[in-house]
Amino acid sequence: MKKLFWILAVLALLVSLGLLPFSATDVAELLPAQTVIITRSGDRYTVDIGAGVRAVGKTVKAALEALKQEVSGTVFFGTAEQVIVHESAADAVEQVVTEPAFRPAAAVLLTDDDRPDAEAITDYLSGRPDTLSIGEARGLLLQGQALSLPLLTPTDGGYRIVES
Amino acid sequence: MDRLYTGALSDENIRAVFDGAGDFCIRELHVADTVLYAYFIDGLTSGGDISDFVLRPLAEKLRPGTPAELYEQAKHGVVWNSVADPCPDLDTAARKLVNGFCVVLIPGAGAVAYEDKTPEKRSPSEPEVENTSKGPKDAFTETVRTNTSLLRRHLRTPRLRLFETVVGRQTLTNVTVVSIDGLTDPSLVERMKRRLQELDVEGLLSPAAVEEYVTGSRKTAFPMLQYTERTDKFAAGLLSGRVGLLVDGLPLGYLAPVNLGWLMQSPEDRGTDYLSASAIRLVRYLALLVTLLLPALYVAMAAFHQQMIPTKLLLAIIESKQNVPFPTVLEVLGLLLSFEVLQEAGMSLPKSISQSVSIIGGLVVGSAAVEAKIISPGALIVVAVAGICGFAVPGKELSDALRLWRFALTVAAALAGMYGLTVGCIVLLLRLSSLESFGRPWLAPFSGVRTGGAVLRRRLVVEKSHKRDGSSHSI
Repeated sequence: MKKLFWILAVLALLVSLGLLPFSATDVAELLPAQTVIITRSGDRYTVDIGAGVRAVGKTVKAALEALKQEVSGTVFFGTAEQVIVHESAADAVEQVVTEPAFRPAAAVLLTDDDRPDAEAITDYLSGRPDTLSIGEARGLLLQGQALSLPLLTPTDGGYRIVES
Repeated sequence: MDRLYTGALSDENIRAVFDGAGDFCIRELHVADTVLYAYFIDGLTSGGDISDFVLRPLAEKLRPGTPAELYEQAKHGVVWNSVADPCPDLDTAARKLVNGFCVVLIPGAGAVAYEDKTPEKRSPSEPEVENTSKGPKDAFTETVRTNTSLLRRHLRTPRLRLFETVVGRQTLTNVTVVSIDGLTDPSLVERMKRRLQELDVEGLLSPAAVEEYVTGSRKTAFPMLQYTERTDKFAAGLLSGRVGLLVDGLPLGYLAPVNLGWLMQSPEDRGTDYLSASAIRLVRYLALLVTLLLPALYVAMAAFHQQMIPTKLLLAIIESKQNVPFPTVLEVLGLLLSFEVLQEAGMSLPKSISQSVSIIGGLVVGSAAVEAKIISPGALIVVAVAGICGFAVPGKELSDALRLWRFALTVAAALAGMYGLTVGCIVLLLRLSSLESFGRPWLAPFSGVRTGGAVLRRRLVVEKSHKRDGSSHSI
């Protein structure tokens, strides 16, 4: 029993001093991203997760980092179900596909909509499991095949997918 | 046990032993030109039986003679009592008196103790906790002799052995070691007897005292001795080769050794068919895992590993946690504590209002807390499911131990996520692996692939041979 008390006392000391190598992020602090939209303006990339939450960077990775640092709360890309790359940022497709922050099951598409609506896109794509996923895109890259993303194009009152 | 009283067997010494005891009665008899003394304790004995079967025969039948001749007459036949034990010394006489005997002292010769216990005792009733729909409804009572008689109705074999001894310097508690000659491992019986005889304690009054004294220093929350209020379960335990213990004053029977397999068995298993009983046992094991691990898993995933939660569920949890002021860890730990307090309150209250308190505490306060955004519905559901699964585990002692470890694992998960939970589970497993009950490993049924009937109940009749399956876990 004495040994147990000592162990618990040491553990309590480590916890109170913040010396444990584990950091928790409560689920309430998360800012979940469902649709990530990547556009390019000049030589800067903009990452937009909807509800006015966006950040800018020289690369997609830098923009994602800026998003994490500038936004209050913890941006969580684990819930991102689709990553939409505007055709202006088409050269960053490979960066997007290889970005570890995005989960492999997330769909990746190009869009030519200059004002993509994240919520409308989420609703449209939610029932479509046959789109190209990031995992599949990574597989194509590893095999040395050309990456050709489907195009999400606006139509009357909604969107449609044009396979390339 | 050492003698408590070492003086001569005389009227003065007997009176001195019980000096100040208001229920100690003395009856002086002038019989056959001799003065005899009859002693008894009011409340433990039946005055009518003493009058009819001890005093009257002594007065009417005793023929004059020397003290030694009177003693022989009193011991053999004159007195119409089924039990007549000679008392060779003061200590024996005192012990007989406190056990409901009437002691007749023939000065100069000796004393004889006649059993005239009062019939006032609790009758066997239905088990309060271990209920079954089909099984017998006789439960143990506080009187050890009643318990042995109940047991004999289930086990009429003449090979049933009852070793009786006394434990406790002050309580002088009668305890009985029960075994079946030829079936119970003799080493278990000897170990139990030796343990009882080595005990040098003031008393053996509470179930916790029995368990701790009999099993030795108990540094674990997990039970090392199984108790039951059911006579059929006790008999089944004896038939499985275990040794039993009955303690006067406790309406329980103890069985040793114990392991996880036996603790997870319910009397209801023997009342249903093999398939249903096996399926329900599997559910029980699942409930054990859920009650132990679910709160910790929720904390680990919600605080450290959100990516493990399915997306839709995670989005729902995030939305439900909006405006809740407490982090998940505090929510879950607070709810676990509240659940324990609610359980304790329910146990301490009279039955007539405990149900109302449970409803008010569980439903109303819980719902109100969720609506007021003090706690999130996810945490409440997790703790409630874990609590309900805890009730599915048979045996209060096992579920108490699981509740303790549930807290510990939740704290481990709160500190280090899945890593902490894994370390906690390994520590628990190591702890359980090191436990032994009467020299038998506590996790014994799970040491191999075949669990010997611990998980799936064995069929009682094997079709081809039509023989009873006599392995130790067949019941």
